[in-house]
Amino acid sequence: MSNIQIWQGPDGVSIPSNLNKTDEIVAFANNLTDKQKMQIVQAFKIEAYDMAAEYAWKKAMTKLKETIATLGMRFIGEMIGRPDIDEYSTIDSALTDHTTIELAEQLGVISSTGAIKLNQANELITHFFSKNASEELDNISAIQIIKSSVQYILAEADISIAIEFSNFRNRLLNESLQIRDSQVEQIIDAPLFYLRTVMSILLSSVKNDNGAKLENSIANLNLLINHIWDKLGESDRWNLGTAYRDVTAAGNTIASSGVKNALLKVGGFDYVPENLRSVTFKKAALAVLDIHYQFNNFYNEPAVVRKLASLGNTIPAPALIDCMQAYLAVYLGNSYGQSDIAAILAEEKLSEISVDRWAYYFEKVLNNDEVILPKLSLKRCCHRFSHFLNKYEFTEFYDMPKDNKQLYDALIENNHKKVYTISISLNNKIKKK
Amino acid sequence: MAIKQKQHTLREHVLDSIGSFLHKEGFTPDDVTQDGILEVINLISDYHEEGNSLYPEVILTNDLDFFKTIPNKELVINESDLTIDGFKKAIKLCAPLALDNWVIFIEVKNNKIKYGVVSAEMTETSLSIYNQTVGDLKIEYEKITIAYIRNIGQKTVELTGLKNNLIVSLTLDDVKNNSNSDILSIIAKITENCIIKHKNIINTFLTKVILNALRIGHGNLIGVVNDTPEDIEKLMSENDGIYLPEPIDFQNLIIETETEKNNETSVNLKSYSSILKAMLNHDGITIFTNTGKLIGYHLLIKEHKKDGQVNNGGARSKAFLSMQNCNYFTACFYKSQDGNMKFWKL
Repeated sequence: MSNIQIWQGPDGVSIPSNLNKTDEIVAFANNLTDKQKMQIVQAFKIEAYDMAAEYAWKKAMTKLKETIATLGMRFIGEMIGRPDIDEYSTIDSALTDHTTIELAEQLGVISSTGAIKLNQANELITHFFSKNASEELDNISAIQIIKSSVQYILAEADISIAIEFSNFRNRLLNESLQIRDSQVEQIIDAPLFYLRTVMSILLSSVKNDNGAKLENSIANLNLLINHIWDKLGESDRWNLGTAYRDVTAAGNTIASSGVKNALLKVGGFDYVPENLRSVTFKKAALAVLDIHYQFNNFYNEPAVVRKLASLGNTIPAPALIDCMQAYLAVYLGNSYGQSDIAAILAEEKLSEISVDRWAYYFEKVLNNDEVILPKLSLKRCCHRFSHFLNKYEFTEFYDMPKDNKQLYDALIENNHKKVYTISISLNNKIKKK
Repeated sequence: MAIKQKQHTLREHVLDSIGSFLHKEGFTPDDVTQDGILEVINLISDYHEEGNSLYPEVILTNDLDFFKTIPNKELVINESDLTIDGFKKAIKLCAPLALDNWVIFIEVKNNKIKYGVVSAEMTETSLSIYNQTVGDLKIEYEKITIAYIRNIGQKTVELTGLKNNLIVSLTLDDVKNNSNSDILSIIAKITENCIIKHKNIINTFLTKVILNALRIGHGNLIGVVNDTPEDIEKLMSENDGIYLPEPIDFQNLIIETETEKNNETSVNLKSYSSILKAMLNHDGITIFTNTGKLIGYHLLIKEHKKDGQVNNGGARSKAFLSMQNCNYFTACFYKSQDGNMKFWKL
């Protein structure tokens, strides 16, 4: 059982690797009508590669979003840390393409490989459709986007949330589970990626449900927390503390008492935010990351980074990870470069973060940082991070777990080969054993 | 031979009770703390500041670390060696600050006394600090002890710990019913037909506001009517009172605050809760529907008496009897000036 993942999305249909013509690839797109397939092929024929790629991509993303929306918008809001999203929000306005792909992977709609391929396609399309793209989308890049869209989304007549996920979610909300339950044993043993999803399900229910569902969620949270606390990342712990503060502020006695008991079991009260100030910082940091993964990101980043920076230099502890991720994502950029104006401001803000907080980041956060780890596999991002750490003399950190220390040392030495290997390995560890 | 005089003082008796309370709670017993608490009780049982009555509440603990378990704001005012005067000074300095849900805290640790004020208010709907320390949300700590001291009626102070409860009445009158169970019962009737999903939150909110209002008032009457046009019309046509053209719908206000989570909705709810407190402390009956709507106040009920019923009480007590007999209300609540409470339901 130890190597089996609890739920995992399908790997998409198998498209022979030697197929590289649009008509051959779109023939697999069972989700498109013949007319729609023809439109992609025709656009390609007249060398309107961007039109063909964008059409396929939009169709794929719409399908993915529709599938995710079946879980209910409030739950989706909880999954992505956006309390402003409720059942009245529309999926299009709530989710960026990047977030959609991340969620789809988390919910078992697509596989990890599918998520990597779709993220690459998203980065390509985001770059070529940006204002400052100096060249047009070429036919090879367009084929790549179309192929990923078809293979993982459009080829399936009906993509869906993984049944194992839906079943387990139902059990978490409708039953008071026992420690000897095989699914509970599996979850306790699961990688962080799954624990995060389970915590999102439970916290969403604790905040929004009542009656039997609320009681079950509280019982299951209290059952699991002792066993998973050590594995949870810092941001996950802050989420639990924030949920406690939210239900207490809302006057929800049952939920507040339940989460309080869970926090007591693990001595987690240090993760309860003291005031609402951190919410403003978190919201601004999330907005930066949303823009970072969208079209025209280099053009739009300065405004949102300025907004985050304008909140002040004293970042509240509960929002520290989100803010560091946002500034780092902007400063490091992506494979096509970075927003020069925004990166300068992000660099300035990162340099003002205290040595203690950087030490905390390398000791406790970096190994579970799903935003920054993927970036470090890119040579230019590795180089920029290394340059930053050396320039501002954040080079004297020693007390951290082995993997973190090796990655940190490799960053200081600007050893990209090593940084690449360790960051990929740490990122995989979040999802697999 | 001289006659041996037997002396019974209220002070000695209360001191004994405090000692026993502290022992059961696991406080390290010492005379200074025991006398200090007695002084606190004595002071807050009838506290006045420049002619105004104040109702400060006090949390006594052996370790302020327990505040970590409550999202809160603390203001330390002073720290000094442990003396009885230290307790008195704590109340004198902090009582004027302990308004709008700020509560005095006193930490007794290592022969030192540290005090200040603490608030757990984050939004209008936040759970009260009492609820979070020794109420529904209390948790037992390994080495931390807590006692919550508050005035619950004329010259009557309640000490609540994590394990036991002590009510100290500093008068020689009959002990009145000071338990909050009647207040909780009337609030349950006010929220009886509220949307199930939000009932718990509405209940908690109204409990906090009404408890607060009753504590500072000089006696109150609350009536609950069914939220049907016929029942409301019948009540209004036959009784004088001030009926609001637009009822204050606490259910909607709370749902709005919860959904929008913005300053405007929170301030809106705060404004209406202060008007509710004022109406509750006005003469006459404050009227709610069983869906959480405040429809009127200052209702002066005509006498409704059944054959053979005798009531030698005051006007409020007579009104309470009429409320039970008149067939307008499904439930009603009474609190006398001296703190005695009664609840009736159909």
